[in-house]
Amino acid sequence: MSTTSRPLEQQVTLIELVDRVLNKGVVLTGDIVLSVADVDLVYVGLRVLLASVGTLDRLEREVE
Amino acid sequence: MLHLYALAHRPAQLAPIEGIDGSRLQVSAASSAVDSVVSVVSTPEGQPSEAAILEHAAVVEHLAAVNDALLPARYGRGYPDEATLADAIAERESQVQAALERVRGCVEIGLRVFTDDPGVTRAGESTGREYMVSRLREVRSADRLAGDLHDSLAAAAKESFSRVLASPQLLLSATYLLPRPELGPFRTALAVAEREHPELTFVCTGPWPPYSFAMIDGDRR
Repeated sequence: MSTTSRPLEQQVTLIELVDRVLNKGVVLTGDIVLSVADVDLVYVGLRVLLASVGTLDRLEREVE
Repeated sequence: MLHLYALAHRPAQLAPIEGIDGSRLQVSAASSAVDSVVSVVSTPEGQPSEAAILEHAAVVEHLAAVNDALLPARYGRGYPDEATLADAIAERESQVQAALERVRGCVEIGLRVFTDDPGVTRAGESTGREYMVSRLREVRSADRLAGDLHDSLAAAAKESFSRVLASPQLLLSATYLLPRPELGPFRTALAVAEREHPELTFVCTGPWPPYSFAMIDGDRR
């Protein structure tokens, strides 16, 4: 994995983490919860980044 | 205000970590069988900060390492006192116990599989009807592909759920509950799937504490 992709990995991990902490987990009566956008929808925007990372890795392999 | 991090079988084990905003973690006895892990925090206003969300997650992560069965709590607004929290747990005691048994010794893995969407680029080349027919075929074959991928990975899982084509590029979005010893076989199955499908992008995250399998009846939304 190239170093250029690291910020993206962190971004993905953060999205997954926030989704779990705010949208998943046990809820009991009396505790009001908040929720964030459907994470699958959030990923639609990320797709562009993921595609560019994939291309980058392929290019790097070709150069090597 | 009491902030709830997780529920565990009694006696819950505490981890050497601070709670939100440097608060001190404590075990609050909910019933004869279930404990909760909480800390005293100031009454939250508005959305929780990113720091608070990360602190909640860090506490859950540490607790999951020392409690064999742990139900991570969703980030909430908190409880005024221990009695209110104990009542809330008592109300759903049997469901909480069943959920604890369900996640015992397990971790959660998240997977998203992306595909390029050839349908979009072909749209201009055919009539509306032809386009719709070919699009339908693509959706069906994507459905099959996603189903096959999911089945091959779910074999190692105790439980799983998945969503196919949540968006045109997101072929599969799935979550797996894996007993710890199954992590190796799962990784192997994933590596095989990645090798067989170089045209797809696999994004796998985890192992997470079992947030997605901690929800009890009626919570899944």
